[in-house]
Amino acid sequence: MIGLEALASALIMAALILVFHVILVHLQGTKSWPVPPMILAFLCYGGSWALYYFINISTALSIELAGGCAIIVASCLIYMEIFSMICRGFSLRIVIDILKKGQLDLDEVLTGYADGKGVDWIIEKRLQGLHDIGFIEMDQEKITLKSKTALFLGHIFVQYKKLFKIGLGG
Amino acid sequence: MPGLWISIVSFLTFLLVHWIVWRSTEPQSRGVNLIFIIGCTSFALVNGLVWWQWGQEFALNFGGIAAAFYLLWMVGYIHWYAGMDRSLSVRILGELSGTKQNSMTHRELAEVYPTREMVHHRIRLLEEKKWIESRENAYHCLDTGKKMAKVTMFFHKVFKLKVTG
Repeated sequence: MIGLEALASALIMAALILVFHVILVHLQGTKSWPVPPMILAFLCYGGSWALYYFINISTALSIELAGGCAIIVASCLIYMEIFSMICRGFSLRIVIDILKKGQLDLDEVLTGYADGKGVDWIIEKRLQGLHDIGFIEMDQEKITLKSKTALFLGHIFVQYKKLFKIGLGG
Repeated sequence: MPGLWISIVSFLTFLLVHWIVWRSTEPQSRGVNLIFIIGCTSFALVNGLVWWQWGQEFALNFGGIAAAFYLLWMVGYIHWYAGMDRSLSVRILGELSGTKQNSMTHRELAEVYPTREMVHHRIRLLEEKKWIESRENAYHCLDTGKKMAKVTMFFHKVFKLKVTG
């Protein structure tokens, strides 16, 4: 089958993302900011596969190369989603808190969220994230949408949720 | 590039079926699992038709490439859908874009998006998945929840993550 070797090699080599990511995080030393090493790990994985492709499969730009690239981007997206769940997973954090304490009631889940930071902290964290990428500006009183992109995305999100009857989400 | 076109037609078929199913069912009966099932069925349907038309030529020349591109569209879509369904940031942006001045106070945000309700909703979903259970007014981890929490904590250590959530 055309492209099978290219596709299979891209799939198998996806395991390299985790290897590269762990190595790069530990090379950072005391800093613990895992996102730039993850992006670098994606590039290392793509680069390794490209090297394999041009040495062992073909030197030509072909549909096989495009198929391999599709697998690479898909693998990176899957990794990103899983890593985001590990880093920012809200439900997973609740389960971890309950496991650490043995048992928690609803109020204790609210106040003890993320090792005692409390659940309001997560809203502040998400607002800070939106502020850092330039989507909102905020002071002690107000939160305001800052960019047209943010406004456009906000409308798209709301319309999509209406179209697919997803509810409010979050 | 027939493989690419087959993957696009499969994805559009998936979107149509997904939309019909989502419009005609209640939120409790849906989930990423159902998206996965609809995705596989749509791909099998479109590819089955192409196979029937082109026979062996399709299997040899386009099948793998179509699958690779379809995987990309589906992963991208599930990424998007998970954000729409669960992301707090997406919800906040949606709430802000719905106001007249595109702004609200922290108190107003807390009213439209109460944290207690948000946690209660997540706990209910965790109970449905049998990760946790409620006994004597307190929540306890069940085996699946314990396993998932331990695996996650292992990766927190591997990636030297201090503050998560």
